[in-house]
Amino acid sequence: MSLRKAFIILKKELLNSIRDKRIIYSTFLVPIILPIFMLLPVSLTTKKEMKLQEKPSYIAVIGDGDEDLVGYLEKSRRFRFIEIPESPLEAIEKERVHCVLEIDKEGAGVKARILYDATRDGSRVAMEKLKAALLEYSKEKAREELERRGLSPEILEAVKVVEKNLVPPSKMGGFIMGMLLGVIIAMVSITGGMVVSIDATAGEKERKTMEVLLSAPLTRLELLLGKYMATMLFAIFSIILTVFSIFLTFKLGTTAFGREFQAITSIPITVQGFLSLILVVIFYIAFMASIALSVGTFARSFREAQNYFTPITLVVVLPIVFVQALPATPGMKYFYLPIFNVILFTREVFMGNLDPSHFSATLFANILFAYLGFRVAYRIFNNEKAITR
Amino acid sequence: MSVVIRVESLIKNFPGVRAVDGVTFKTEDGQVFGLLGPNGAGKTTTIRLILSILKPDSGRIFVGDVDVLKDGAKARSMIGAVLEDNGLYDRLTAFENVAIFGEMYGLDRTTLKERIERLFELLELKDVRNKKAGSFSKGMKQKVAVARALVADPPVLILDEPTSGLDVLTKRTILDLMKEEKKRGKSILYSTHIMSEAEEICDVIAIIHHGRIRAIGALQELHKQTGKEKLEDIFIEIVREPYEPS
Repeated sequence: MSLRKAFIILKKELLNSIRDKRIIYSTFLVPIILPIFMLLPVSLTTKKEMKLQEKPSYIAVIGDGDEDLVGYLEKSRRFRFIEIPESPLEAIEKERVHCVLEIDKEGAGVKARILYDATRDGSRVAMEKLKAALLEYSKEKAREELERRGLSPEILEAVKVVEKNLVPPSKMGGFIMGMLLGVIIAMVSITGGMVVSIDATAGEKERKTMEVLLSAPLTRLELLLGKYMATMLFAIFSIILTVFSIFLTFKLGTTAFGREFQAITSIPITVQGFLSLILVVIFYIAFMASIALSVGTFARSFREAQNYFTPITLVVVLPIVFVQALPATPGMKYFYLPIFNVILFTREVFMGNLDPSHFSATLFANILFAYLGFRVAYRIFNNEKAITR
Repeated sequence: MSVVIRVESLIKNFPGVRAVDGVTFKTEDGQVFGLLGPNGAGKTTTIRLILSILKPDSGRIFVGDVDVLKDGAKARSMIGAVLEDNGLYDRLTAFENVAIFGEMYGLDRTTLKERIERLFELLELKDVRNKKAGSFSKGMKQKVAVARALVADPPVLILDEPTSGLDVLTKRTILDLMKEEKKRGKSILYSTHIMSEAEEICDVIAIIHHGRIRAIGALQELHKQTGKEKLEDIFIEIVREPYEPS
């Protein structure tokens, strides 16, 4: 086996692939654009909601009216009052007001109905603000009444609820980022190298270039290794671009992602953890590359290979769904399962909880699956029916 | 050392059909060995077996003293092949298409460049040297495929219908080049179904039909064997002879 010859195939695959628009699109463009398109709308929505929370909301008061209540709301400076001649729905639709407060006097009390449009961000935020203000007002009134009767207002709060997250924001950031990146790595490892692997196998057969390659002075192992390295290289590059794009998106929308996301720059990842993750991911990519090449070699044409890849991508997505349902500290067996182990291990590394036994199990499983996967790919590549059909 | 192809009792079955049936022949240095047969006769399968793209069900193949079944890559390192499909990479330039294969044969950069320039000169490909193969005509593509087969200057050449569907000028260029290579002592296995070509270029002709070699010899020997003058008549006479399929 000559590595030099495998590298010639790698060079040929790289040269051939970077001139293919489909590959440029799937390997370079999609990983850059996808996180931006996925995360930026979330960021923009959050930013918009934050702005709406800060700015005063426009409301109209209809019904019986209650000077005391309206006075209380005016004093809070969170609302501006508008008079509306039209119906509440029309006024909201014309964006004259965010919501309408309808007051009905019921004996000594007041029944306040908030009329709003749940499909409008501004209306929804105004409703929440108004609801909070009305509850505060109600409490205030109850307190005054209790004091007037000589009772302690403390009876209003039989239970004082205090929330305290014991995990620092950086660890929360690590948890979310680790989960997100684990899923991205699991997915992009197969999709990033998919088009290259199909092009280098089924594509070569379809274009009748495979036979010429097989007539060259190379062993099948050298040939497969060159294609394997090209597939892995594109998957690695695709993952790097995706991760870069995610960080960039968070950076751009940093104020909008909440405290957990703002902490991504101080995620408790260690050098040791980072290097362990790289090692694990390389073998995981190797496993995925062998699946991609096996499928590509088995298929007759580019289109047929793409059809085979649809269920395979679903198989990768399934563990991603199941991982969400796992307990916070999943059992050891999950670290022997491919896809599961990469997501869970990535999460651990980003949270700064590197468990040596989890690392050993994940690495062992991925090396084993990469080895078995390569054996299968080599077997299919050596099968004359598969390679010449 | 003499590097020739030696094929002994080669058999290859595909589901429901015996594609190659006991084929035996040997090429010589400085000789063009013609494999003449109609479409589906077993020519391409025989070539695929020699190049170890396919594995025979039985029989032996040697290139020089290398057993193809034991070390296919080493055997292929002595062969330059032009297959039925030119197999060029459309996204690579003419130069890159040839250079990649030269590298596989272990040529160093300087030798590789010199050889490609010489071959491109001979095959009139200099103007398209840096153009992508996807934009080439069929003739141009075939000339690049010939350059690719010759770049490592291997002692054995295998050509599978290399002039099929080409214009007269390209055909002439390729045939003349093969004659030159023969003069240089190469052992050439030339598969064709075009009688005039076989008559012009082949020193020995093996007529293959239904996977079996039905006659083998120099053109004069085939004349004597059949009493026919023209190769086309010889061919028809031989393939019409009744035979028992195995």
